[in-house]
Amino acid sequence: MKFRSIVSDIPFHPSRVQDADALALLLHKRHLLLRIAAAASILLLAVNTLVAITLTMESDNKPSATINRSQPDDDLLESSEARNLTSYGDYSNDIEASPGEIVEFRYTLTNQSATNQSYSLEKDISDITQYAYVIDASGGSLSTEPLAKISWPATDLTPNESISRTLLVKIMSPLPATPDDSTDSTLGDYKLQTGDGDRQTTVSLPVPTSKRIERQVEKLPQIPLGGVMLSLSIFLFVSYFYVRNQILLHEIKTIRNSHNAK
Amino acid sequence: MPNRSENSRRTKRHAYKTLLNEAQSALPYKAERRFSRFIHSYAIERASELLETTVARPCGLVGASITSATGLSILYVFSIQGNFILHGSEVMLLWVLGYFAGLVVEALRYIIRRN
Repeated sequence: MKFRSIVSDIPFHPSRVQDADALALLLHKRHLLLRIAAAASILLLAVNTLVAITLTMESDNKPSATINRSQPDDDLLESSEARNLTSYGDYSNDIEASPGEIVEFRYTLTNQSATNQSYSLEKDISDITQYAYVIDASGGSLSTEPLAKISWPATDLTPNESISRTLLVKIMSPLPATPDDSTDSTLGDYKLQTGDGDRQTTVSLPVPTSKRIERQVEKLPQIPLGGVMLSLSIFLFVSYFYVRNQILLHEIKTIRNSHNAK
Repeated sequence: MPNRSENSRRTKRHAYKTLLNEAQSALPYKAERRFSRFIHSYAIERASELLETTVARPCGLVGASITSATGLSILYVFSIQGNFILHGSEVMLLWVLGYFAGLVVEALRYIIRRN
């Protein structure tokens, strides 16, 4: 319904007064909708400003730890497996656990050389300690600097002899929100991984909703101030139509009233 | 010599200007009167009317604004909880989704009323 055509016709065609009334009613209905839209766009601008502030503040503080994993020894056959003690699970290389549950890792060392040798077992457990606390290390000593590591005292092994060491951990509850890291794919993956290469053991943890959202957000393009600019444009766009509607409503009512008075 | 339809057009234009001036002078604030003059300039009026029927449909704007504001607030809470950074482009996606949701609601209302 065009404002200009209705207003210019009113003095000559009295029937157009009804159109002016219909236009006023339409503008009145739009007024409420646009008011809600304007209020929501103010909220959007405020949230986006917060997002931009957080983005600028945190982009420099994102952790980027790199884990240097030890290389396997040829004379030594190392294997690892894990079981969920809380749910009475069996040893496997791929198990699942939930926050608060207790998991037991078992490391087995076999002397593959032809002579008696003394071996000390040392395991990098930095991936495990991201999401779990060590409860018991069966005589092993734990060090945290520079990376979480557990080492058991040296043991003499005859050819083809094996020894096993266990590590008992409790999964953190709630699980910490570790951000993804492009330099190390094992960080923030909600998996406890131990062992090397093909002999790796993985304990999968439930991925929280925030992490699922983060993975979707990662796929979107990054525009640090674009969000603020966009929400500012949206706010101005909505505000323009809100104020315009309000003025048109005021004007059509004035014109209608002055026509009645005449 | 101007023909009859041209005379009628001129008369209408004059009547429109008179009524509009009258309505504008009734506006309480000076800023409103200025804004009114701006929105009634021919090009702006045409552009606004075109936008009003396309990308600036009130239902679409309500849907888009509410969806993007609510969606972004939820995402922001999750980003704090999950310790990750939002990319800034989520608002665009939410706005488009919300706009179409608003149009769907408008269409449904229209269909229900018609029936």
